[in-house]
Amino acid sequence: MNCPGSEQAAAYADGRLDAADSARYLEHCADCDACRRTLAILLQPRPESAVPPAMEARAIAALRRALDRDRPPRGFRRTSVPRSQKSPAGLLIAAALLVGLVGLVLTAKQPPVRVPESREIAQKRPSAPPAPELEPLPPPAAEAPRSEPAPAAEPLEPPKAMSPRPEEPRIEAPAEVIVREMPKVDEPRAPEPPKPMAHTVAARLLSEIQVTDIAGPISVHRKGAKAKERLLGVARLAEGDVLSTEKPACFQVEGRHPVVLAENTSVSMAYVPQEQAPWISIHSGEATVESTGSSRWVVTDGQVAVAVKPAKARFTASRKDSRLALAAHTETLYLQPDGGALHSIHAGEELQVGRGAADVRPVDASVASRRTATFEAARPRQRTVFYTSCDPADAKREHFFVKEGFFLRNDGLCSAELKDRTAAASIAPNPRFAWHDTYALRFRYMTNCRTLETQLRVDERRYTLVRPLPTDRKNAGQWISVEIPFALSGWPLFRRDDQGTTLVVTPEDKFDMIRFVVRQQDVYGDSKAYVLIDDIQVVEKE
Amino acid sequence: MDERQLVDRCIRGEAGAWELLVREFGPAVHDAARFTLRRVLGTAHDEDVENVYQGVLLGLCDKDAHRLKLFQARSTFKTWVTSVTARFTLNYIRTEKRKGSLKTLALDASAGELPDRDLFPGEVEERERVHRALEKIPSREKLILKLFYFDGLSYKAVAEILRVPVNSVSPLLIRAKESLRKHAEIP
Repeated sequence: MNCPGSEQAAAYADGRLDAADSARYLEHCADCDACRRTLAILLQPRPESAVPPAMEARAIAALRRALDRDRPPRGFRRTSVPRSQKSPAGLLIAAALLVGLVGLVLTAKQPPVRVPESREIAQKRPSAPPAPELEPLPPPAAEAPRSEPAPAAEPLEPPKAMSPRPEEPRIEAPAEVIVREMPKVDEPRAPEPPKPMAHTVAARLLSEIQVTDIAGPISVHRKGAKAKERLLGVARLAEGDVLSTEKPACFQVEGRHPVVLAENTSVSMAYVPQEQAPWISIHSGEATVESTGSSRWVVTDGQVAVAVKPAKARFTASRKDSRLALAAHTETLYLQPDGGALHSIHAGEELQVGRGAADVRPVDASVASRRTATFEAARPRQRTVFYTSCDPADAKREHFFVKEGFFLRNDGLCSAELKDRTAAASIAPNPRFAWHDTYALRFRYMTNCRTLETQLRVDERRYTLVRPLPTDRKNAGQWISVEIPFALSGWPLFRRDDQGTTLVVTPEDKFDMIRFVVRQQDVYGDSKAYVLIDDIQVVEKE
Repeated sequence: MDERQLVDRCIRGEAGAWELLVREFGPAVHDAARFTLRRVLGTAHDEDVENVYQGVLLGLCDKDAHRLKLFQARSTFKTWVTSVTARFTLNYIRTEKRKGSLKTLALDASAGELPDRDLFPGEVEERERVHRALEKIPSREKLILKLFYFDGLSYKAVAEILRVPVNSVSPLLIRAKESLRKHAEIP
């Protein structure tokens, strides 16, 4: 549908369209929900209220920075970033503290507070130490050519992270180098010092990432949430979510890359789809990653981004003194800071990037071996091969397809009644996973039947493995978690399509379907048979 | 300085002009953001309002004021920026919902959910029949039904949009419902 856009809606609302155009526009609104809703909002009378001064100040500061971004700023304007909720008592205490500390505040050098910006905005950060605070100059900013395609004119895309949350470390997108010379015509300035190599931050599409096999006290502060939540087992993280742990913890990224977080570490994770690369932003502490896949990693501290390729190696990254440090542990790492020069880091060496320089330094052998030993001791002992939380949002990711059943709200996958009065729910994993002795199938279920039959189907060889799971009456209607090992002892029954009585299972056999069946004759009471399934997971144990 | 001059100065990248624009038209952006969030979600958190508020203003300034240049003065700037904000907010809500950041249940959330065919088979068929019938009736009748029943607007608001007297809305609605009933074959 070709939307006439905001201009037409505004013109109609102001009565500046002629009769023919008005009729055409209303005709369009009958079919276009966005235009109809926009018009409804435009024509609703509402009293205009003032913008909170702090919000307005932050917006103006962000605009100034956006206008300024094409040249390295010589200082940052400080913007007050108040907390969203303040109690009167808190304000009184804060005021008292402020009076007591005013002398210190006046003499101390304030670190610049970053004004949050749209992710789409390329941002150049100085790699030199910040100069004394100056008012940022407001020149017209000519846009340098970008490799990113220009977005459609309308509608505007929503911002990714603009609400300032000073207590929360923020994600910065990884970087690319954009060198620009900006004339400064409207205000006289002192001669600029020679520019060191700058690390820049540019737009990059990041999408959610799945972390599995979480072990340790990891909590996540999701973007926009008021409180932290504890992560258990499996989680999906979006850009802006911050993982933090006070004690050592570990997890797997996308089922392939074990990550160990040291104590007091805080990171953000995301995924760079076009590069098939996991992305980790270190806010504080130290993270060690062992990548066993072919995809490279992007590591950043918000100011410097390093592409690690190939990533079949183990490295640590820590953020200290605004320097990103990456160390090779067992193999040579190839690192490319900000898409610039490629550095080879041999085992026992460390690359430190920051302050406009990239230095390779040897790492003390005892430190390296201690890091390796720590990683080995702390890394996850299992790997998730397949996982679904059985909800519609998960289904949209298409790593599985529902064959039978339907999503019941957010409670899981509910069985559908079949002609023979059995009820079944089944999914097809995508991609299929092969038979492996060390695998185990986990899920949780709720049923009103005595027995739940779990089936694994191999279409290619036309057989089904069957595992009946008895359910006590007292557990009927309750969630029950189970784990069935893939070892043949875990599957006492099988059915071959040709009615054969022997079966040989090989590691070549790939499972097309996981199916859960309950029968009407097994129901406790006289209700209809059902089974609800949630959190289906196939894990590989060491 | 009139608003066209102000917009031109902003397009030239004058920071002072941008500041003036924020002070002059920021309240319209802020109110439109808050109103749209409240209308769709039933509530408007300050954090979301600020995200939209900053997002709209930065979006206008971004890419050499590329989007601001789309303003052709076919309406007042205030109406235009309100319209831009409303669209931006609707997109914002959709994106944030997809990411799961917005936990508040939208008033129209049921429209986005998968129908539970096995639980309410009759209802799903009914809904589909109504939607099919909506496609067959004249667009003006379709619009009035959607404004009143889908968007929950009052007679006064519907009258405002259609530019008809308030007391004409009821007969128009009745006629639209009759038309729908005929096409949907509802007894």
